[in-house]
Amino acid sequence: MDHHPLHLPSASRAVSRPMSRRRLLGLGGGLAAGIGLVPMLSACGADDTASSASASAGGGTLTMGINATPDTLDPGATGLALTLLISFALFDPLVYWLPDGNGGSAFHPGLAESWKISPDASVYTFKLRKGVTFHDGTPFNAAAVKATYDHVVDPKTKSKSGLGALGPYKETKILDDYTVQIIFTAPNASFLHQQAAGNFGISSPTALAKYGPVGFGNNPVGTGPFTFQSYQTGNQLTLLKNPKYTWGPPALGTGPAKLDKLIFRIVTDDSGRYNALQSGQLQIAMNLPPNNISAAQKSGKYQQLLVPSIGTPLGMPINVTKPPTDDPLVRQAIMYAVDQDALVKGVLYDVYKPAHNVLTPITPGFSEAAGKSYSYDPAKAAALLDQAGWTAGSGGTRTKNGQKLNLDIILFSGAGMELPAQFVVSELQKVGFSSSTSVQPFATAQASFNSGVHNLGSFGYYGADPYLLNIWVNSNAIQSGFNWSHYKNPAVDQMIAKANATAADATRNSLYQQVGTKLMQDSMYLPLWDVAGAFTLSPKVKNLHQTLNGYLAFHSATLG
Amino acid sequence: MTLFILRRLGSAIPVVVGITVISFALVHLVPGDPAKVILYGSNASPEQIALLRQQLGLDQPIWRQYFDFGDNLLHGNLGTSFLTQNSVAFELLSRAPSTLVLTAASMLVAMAVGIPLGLVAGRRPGSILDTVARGVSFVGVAVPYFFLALLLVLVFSVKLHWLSAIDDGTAKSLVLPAVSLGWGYAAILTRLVRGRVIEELRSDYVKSARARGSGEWRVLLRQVLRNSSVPAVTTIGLQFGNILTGAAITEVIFGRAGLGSFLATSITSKNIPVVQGAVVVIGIGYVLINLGVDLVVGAIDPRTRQEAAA
Repeated sequence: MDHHPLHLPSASRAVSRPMSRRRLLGLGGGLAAGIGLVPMLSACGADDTASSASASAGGGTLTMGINATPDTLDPGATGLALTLLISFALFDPLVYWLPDGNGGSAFHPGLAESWKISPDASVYTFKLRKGVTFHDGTPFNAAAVKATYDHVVDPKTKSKSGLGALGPYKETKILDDYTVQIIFTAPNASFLHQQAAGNFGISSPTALAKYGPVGFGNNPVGTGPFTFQSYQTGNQLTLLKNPKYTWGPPALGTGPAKLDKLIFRIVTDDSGRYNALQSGQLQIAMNLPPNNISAAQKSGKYQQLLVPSIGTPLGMPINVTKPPTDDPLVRQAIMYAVDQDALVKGVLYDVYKPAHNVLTPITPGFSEAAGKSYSYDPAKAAALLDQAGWTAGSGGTRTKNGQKLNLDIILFSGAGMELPAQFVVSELQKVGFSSSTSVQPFATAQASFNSGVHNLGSFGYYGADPYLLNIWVNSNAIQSGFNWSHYKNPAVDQMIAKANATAADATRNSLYQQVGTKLMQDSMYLPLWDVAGAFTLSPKVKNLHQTLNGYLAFHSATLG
Repeated sequence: MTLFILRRLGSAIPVVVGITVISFALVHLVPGDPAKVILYGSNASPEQIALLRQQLGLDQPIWRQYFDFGDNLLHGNLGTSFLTQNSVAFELLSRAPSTLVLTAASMLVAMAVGIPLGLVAGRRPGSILDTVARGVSFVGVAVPYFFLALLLVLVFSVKLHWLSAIDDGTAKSLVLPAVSLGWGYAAILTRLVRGRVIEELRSDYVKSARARGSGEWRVLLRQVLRNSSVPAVTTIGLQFGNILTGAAITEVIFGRAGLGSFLATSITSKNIPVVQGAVVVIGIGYVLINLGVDLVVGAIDPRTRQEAAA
């Protein structure tokens, strides 16, 4: 296979740990937007790297159990990260952005052969590939790119994550049939990452006109390796191989898909997915809970794939305005009191990676130094609380002026945070905190978070670009957005805005690193574990590739 | 008879209006903003959240939102799902068959098991058959259906590979969910029928039938069963609502795209139009089933027919 460079040397080990985006996304609906595509790995056996014979054999139907119901099949309209997984199979972006298998990432030509970015990151010029056709036979050209982007900003589309990801879009200008410019009213350095994340899969202008901005969500037509066959609402989505597909990036494989059919089966119940994997109805189960993943690994019958995502680790926003966490010393004590490594080993069955930062390590702008701001040091936590005037008394809970050192913890259900939060509570008790925890449905919890009645909340975010920090640390997102730390720092707001107005990667990343360091210093977020997609799969499934938002690409997947 | 049906349907109108008001109030009383539920994690600025609220009509006063809903309903329009932008009618219709099939299959299991078991048990109370039947029904009542469902999946799908763990559209994959959901009702029916049969067997008409020389089974099936079925049929009708509740969980366990699981997730994500639409449809369904039960009971027992006509 031609994508050797991307193969992980020992895929089966690399693969061994994941966990739950589903949860994040699941219930509450939420979801993250994400981004980019990428990486890859041969999902399977460690030694089949060069088995081109089996890869070329091809054929068959691969059924993957997913954990939530897509809101729409239109990547431009969706608010659910899960739809982006489907988008990678049905659509191509202008430019692919994929993991390189060594912890880094690289851009690859997609429907654009080359691209140029203006120094202020407000004008993106793309030279398009010729000879590409959509699944419905419509030829791909500049008009299709314009139709796709105009569709996202059309109010009738009611775009969710695409609209947010696109930012200050002005227009798409057709320079000639195979050259387009995407122009923004303000600098938008995150765009190259965002356009690769899946929301902007180039859509057939014929189908957009035929089905309308909403109807397209039930009849998606792209240029990708698979074509849409049918969707039984809430049940399963069936895709067929696109035999004409020859324009995929070599990093994902050459030529048409090997599978004949790709089925996404919706099974929202965790144990339902695990049972169906064991009964042989599924070949891949997505985001099983850690205890099932651990059992699957012990059985020796399944491979486990952990696909890291760009984003903010799952963790707990610390409310910087509500006592006692309005005191920086108390917040620092919390940061020192919790042992993420023990959490991951003890509660998450070592499936995920512990997090010590506001961004995951594969996110551009990740600051290694920021991750070292705190270490697990209960003695230091106790000393900080002493210094803040909270004295240890009888019963183990510290007091100050007759007040107990108590934290109100609010979690939303379905995010897999209940058990980890119990671990955090027990860690905090050891240094003298008491706490009360309530678990609420997502809709209720987010209202609580905006009103600020919590000391610790719950959060986690799959993203495409470090600009995602803007949505949850910006001062304007406290009352009605996702700034659940109630963190207000105009200097940080400005630094993030400046970073997104900087086209030069090095400068931009260094700005984001400064922001990350500042956020960690201000101890406004207790990171717990890195967001990542977890896939438990039959060893027959081979040649999967990873994407940068924790998903899989099926361009050259095979069933051995 | 027609008048009876019309009267029953007419009395259903305040019931349906009542449940829409109550469910509308409940879903709005719970704090939380559907726009934010939808946009969580999607790079959404506060402006975009406000825009979506406006698009969804959430910026209107609550009375206005209810009025719009009622107005649409009278025009036969259940509204548009917040999440998918598809019509609520489409969303419900695409999931209704799965739930109807599951409900019918569970009822079938309940009747096929419960009625014969009750009959043989009641015929000779204290016999070995009776002890077995009571044992079965005791287990059925005592073991929660979701526990039974998980147990059945473990044994028949995961270990033995005989039946599907999740729905695959075939009748075979309906077996486990129907059995796990129907078993509890089979147990209730068994007890109900057994009790009635014991009672009826002691009655004068049975004695006189026997005296006339009717065979034992003829008495049992023609007379006793018929007289014992009235409470059984009524119970089946009343269980409809319970089955729907059970269906929500059973559907989730077996990965079935049905109304129950859909309603449950719509409530937690505050997909208000779907919740409203589902409540209306289920309310009407409930009323119709009860009407059907009354008609069937009338057919079985002429006395109630006369009351209805009166």
